[in-house]
Amino acid sequence: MTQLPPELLKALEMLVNPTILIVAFAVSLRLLPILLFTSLGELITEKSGVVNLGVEGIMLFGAFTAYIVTIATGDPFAGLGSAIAMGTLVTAVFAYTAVILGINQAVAGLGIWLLGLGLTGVLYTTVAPIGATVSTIKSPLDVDTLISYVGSREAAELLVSLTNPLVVVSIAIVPATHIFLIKTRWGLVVSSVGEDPLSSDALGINVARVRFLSTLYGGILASISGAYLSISYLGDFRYGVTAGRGFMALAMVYAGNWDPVRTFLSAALLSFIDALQLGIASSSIELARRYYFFNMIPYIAVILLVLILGRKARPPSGLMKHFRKG
Amino acid sequence: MRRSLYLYLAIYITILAVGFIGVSIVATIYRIGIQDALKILMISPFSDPFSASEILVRFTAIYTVALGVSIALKAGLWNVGGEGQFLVGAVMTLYMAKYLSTPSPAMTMTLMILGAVFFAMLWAAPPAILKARFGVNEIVTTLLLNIVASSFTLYALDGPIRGSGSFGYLISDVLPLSLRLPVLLRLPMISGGEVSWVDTRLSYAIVIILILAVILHILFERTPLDTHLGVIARDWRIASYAGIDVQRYVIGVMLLAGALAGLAGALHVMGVLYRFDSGQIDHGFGYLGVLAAALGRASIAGTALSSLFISFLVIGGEALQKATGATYAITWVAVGLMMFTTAVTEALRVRRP
Repeated sequence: MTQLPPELLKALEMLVNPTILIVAFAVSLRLLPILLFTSLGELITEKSGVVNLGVEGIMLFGAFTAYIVTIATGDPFAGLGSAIAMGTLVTAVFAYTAVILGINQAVAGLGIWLLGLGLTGVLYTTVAPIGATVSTIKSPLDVDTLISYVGSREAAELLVSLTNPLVVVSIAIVPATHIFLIKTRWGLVVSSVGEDPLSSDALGINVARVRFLSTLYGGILASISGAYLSISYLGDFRYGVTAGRGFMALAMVYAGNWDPVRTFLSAALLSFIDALQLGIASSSIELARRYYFFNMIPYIAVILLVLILGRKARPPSGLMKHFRKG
Repeated sequence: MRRSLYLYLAIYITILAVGFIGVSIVATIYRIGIQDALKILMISPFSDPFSASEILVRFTAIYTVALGVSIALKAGLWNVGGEGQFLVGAVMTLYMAKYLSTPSPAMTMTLMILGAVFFAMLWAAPPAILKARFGVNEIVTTLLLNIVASSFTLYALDGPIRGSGSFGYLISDVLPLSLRLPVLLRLPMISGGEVSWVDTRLSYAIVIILILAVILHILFERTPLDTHLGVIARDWRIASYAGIDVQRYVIGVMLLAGALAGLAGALHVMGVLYRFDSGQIDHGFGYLGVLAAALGRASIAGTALSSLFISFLVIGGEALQKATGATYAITWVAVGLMMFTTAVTEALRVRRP
């Protein structure tokens, strides 16, 4: 038998440690909204038949706007509001060109992503003050004071994660999306437009309007996700800070087979894996030096998840197909 | 026919103008006038023969990636994974150079290139299979694998291909002289009345690529393959009714795209950089190749032209960065704008009655 490297053995030991698992769970709850907002928004967009590959860029626009406005005003909720405004603006451009003009959604989406990467990168190095601290949207509770009440650090971490308002909102959107799609007339309209735009049009549904609004909704949620990343989870902004989380969210929609609950479960699993690798990588100096090794894990996990769950996936029939009336 | 050619040219010029003017507007953040920024962008690439030769150096890398992207695009597939496949190619080239011992350098070099191409193909395989078998959006999977490739490169630079005198920096050893591609262009330098010939970074890689482009043109644009891929791009179902093995074609072109991006990485290491370091990880050739293929409408000749223009923009952009202190991000502004404009103009052209 070959000898495993000691670092790997140590990492494996941590995986069976219940304390570490609870902390990882608490951290994964904090990571979850980054994926969840974007994937649930993209789910509605795709249900209506549009794929918005620009969500990664919209997340970056949202993250940067939230960061800079929060520094300027000192109010993270003003930051969140302006991130939403920015996200709406950028997505409106994409939605107009995709739904009304019928552009190639792949090319336009990639364009929006690179534009977001470039513009926020340029603005970050010029406009943003260096070393500024930003007030964040966080739980009203505090880990250190909570420990004296609940007794253990793990429980305190968990409670703090669970009381972050944006974490709560992101999880609340899961049943809301489910009910919207299954129980309401509007949800049915969105699904039918994505499945069969021609028949929907014959029924008197304004296909372009439904698609435009669905895309807009997806973009708004992506910008909230970006804002959460910069002014709640990190309290910071960096060049390319989203690190492919937007593309991961798109993969989650696929792995979840366009079902909100399954998408949530995929996103939760992935956030947990992400939290575990972060925990292991930061547990010791030798492991931290090999952060890039652990950093690969969530991305490979996404591909595997899609490979396993993707077999049964059935996308909306009208996905990425432009519908032109007349 | 003539009218559509003029229209195409007009669209082309519009897209390039959007890129150049867009960057110049963004550059005003760095307290530089739009006209000055434009001047730097347009003129500095030709200000001296070394900059001009550098356009062809970038062209070689961008065009190699773009060739793969455009062939996959003929089948309606987007290989956005060139960025990562390039890295895998570069890493494997250095790995083979370090650990392989063969009787002759020529044999080692051949094996280095073949190894790089093979591993880049392997890297492209999961998205290809996922797309062919389950219809998973290949853009998402190839993009996610780019991030894995960056981490993989850091791992390799810290482990297997770490340079002997790297002192904690993530940098590989320099390739020995015998394993480098020969330099194609030398330029005269006159100093103190003496003329000396100085190497540029332009190697024989460009010759290899141009020959390869001709072969790919004959193979994919002068045979029934062209039609087959065209049908697949339109509708998979129609293609399979017509007796085309869709899965095989889809996997085939995606692997070919990966192979070419890996080749780009190998040639860039063997002909230009001679080593690799962590600063090269965000090289950008993968995404520039996607833009080139989109702009050249997936045709091999058209992609050559757009790769040349994009290289010109990249060199101009680097001069602008030097002049203003801007970061590389400013190039992405241009690329994003041009990509978006390509999509819009294409839609407007199709809509025209």
